[in-house]
Formats: sequence, structure tokens, C-alpha cells
Amino acid sequence: MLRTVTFSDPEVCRLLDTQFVSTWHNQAQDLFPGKPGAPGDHQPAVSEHYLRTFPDGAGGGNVRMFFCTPDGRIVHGIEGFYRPETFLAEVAFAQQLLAVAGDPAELRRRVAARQAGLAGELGTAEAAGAAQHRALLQVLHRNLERLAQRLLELPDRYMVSEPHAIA
Amino acid sequence: MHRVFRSAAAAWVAAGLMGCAALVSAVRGTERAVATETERAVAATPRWVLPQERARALANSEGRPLLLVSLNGNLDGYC
Repeated sequence: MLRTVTFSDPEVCRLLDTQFVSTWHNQAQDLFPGKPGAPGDHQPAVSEHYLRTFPDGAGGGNVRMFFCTPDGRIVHGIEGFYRPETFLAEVAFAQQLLAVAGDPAELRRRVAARQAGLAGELGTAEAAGAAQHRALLQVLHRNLERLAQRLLELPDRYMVSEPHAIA
Repeated sequence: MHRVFRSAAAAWVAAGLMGCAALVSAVRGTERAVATETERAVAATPRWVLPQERARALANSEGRPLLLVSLNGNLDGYC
């Protein structure tokens, strides 16, 4: 779904192609029996209904994305599938963090500030009973909790995980 | 007279076969068009630099930030 929905979005493509060197890595090539998972090997297409209704932010550690400095240090990390508008907001936040990557204290301050902001939004969403929005905010908040532990580390040790159940 | 009927029957059979062929061709053409459209829809993906070691080296040499997508399974599964 990242390929079909998020990465095929023209603005996402443009931004990644102009601002980042992008790469992907398949850490569980044997996850789908009979499908070797080589770069050119495509899984069967999912239905339009599935694409439309798949929740923003779902998918867990099946998909991990690390935004890194040129020398490969983590400044932002998100887990799961995101719709283009959510993904673009995360890229924008990553770019803010990249701009202060040389100042670890400022980097941590900005991550903490966004965490606090999301916690506030979460309270509002809970009061409004907006379940889907609340679920997304919880995922984004958890991303930042993990990020706080991983800032400026190399991503390699966080790229290997047990496959999550697919909804 | 028989010869006339035989010719007419042969003409009808030929026309039927040509009609079937045209129909099959049209359906296949539509399938091809759909397949092409699907490919076009996902053709606009970012330029992935593979393998990741090459991307890391390129980011470092060009001083550009790196986006590393790590997947359980390949890019077309649930991605």
C-alpha cells in the first residue's frame, strides 16, 4: 500500500527525489511463502476497498521508515503505513529536525515539544470521541517515544523485528 | 443452387469467426489497457537507490539526507 498509495503520490515523489536519497530494504524475504521478495517481484494487488479503508498509521513494525542525516544517523522514525498527507507532514517534521541535527539538545527539545503537542491533541480527540483520529495520534505519539530513545543512533539495530500480524 | 447455399453458409461462418476474433481482440486490448494503466498508476514512485549500502554511500558523499524504508516482506505486499 505504501507503493500504491503513498509513494505513488506526485508530491511525495517530488519531495523525496529532490530532498533525500531513498532506499528500501526487505528484512523478511521469506515472509510470503513462494514469494522471494526480490525488488522486481510484486505481491498480488489489494482491492480498492482495502486501499480506501486501511487505517492511516496502521501496520506497525512491518514498515519502518528512518529519516537520517547524510552520515546515516536517525533524526526521525515512523512505523506503519501513512496516507500521503500524513506522510508529508512527517517528512516536513523530519526536515525541521535535520536542520538542527548538529545540536542534539535542540533536537531533543523539538521532539519533546511535538510529543507534548500530540498529547494535547490526543486529549481533545478523546473528548470528541474521534476514534480514527485518536488512533493515528496514538501511533504518531508512540513513534516519538521510540524516537526519543533512538535519536542520532545508526538505524541498523532497529531494522530487524518479528513480523506483525497483518490486519 | 446447393453451391449458392454452401457459399452463403461459408460466408456466414467466416463472418462469425471474424466477429469472434474481433471480440477476443477487443477484450484483450482492454485488458492490456487496464494493465498499462495500473502500471502507470504506480510507475511514479520515488527513485530508489538499491542496495541500501549504495544509498548510504551516496547520501554521505552528496551530503543529502537519507530515507531508509525497512520492510517485513517486499514493497508490494502491504506497502
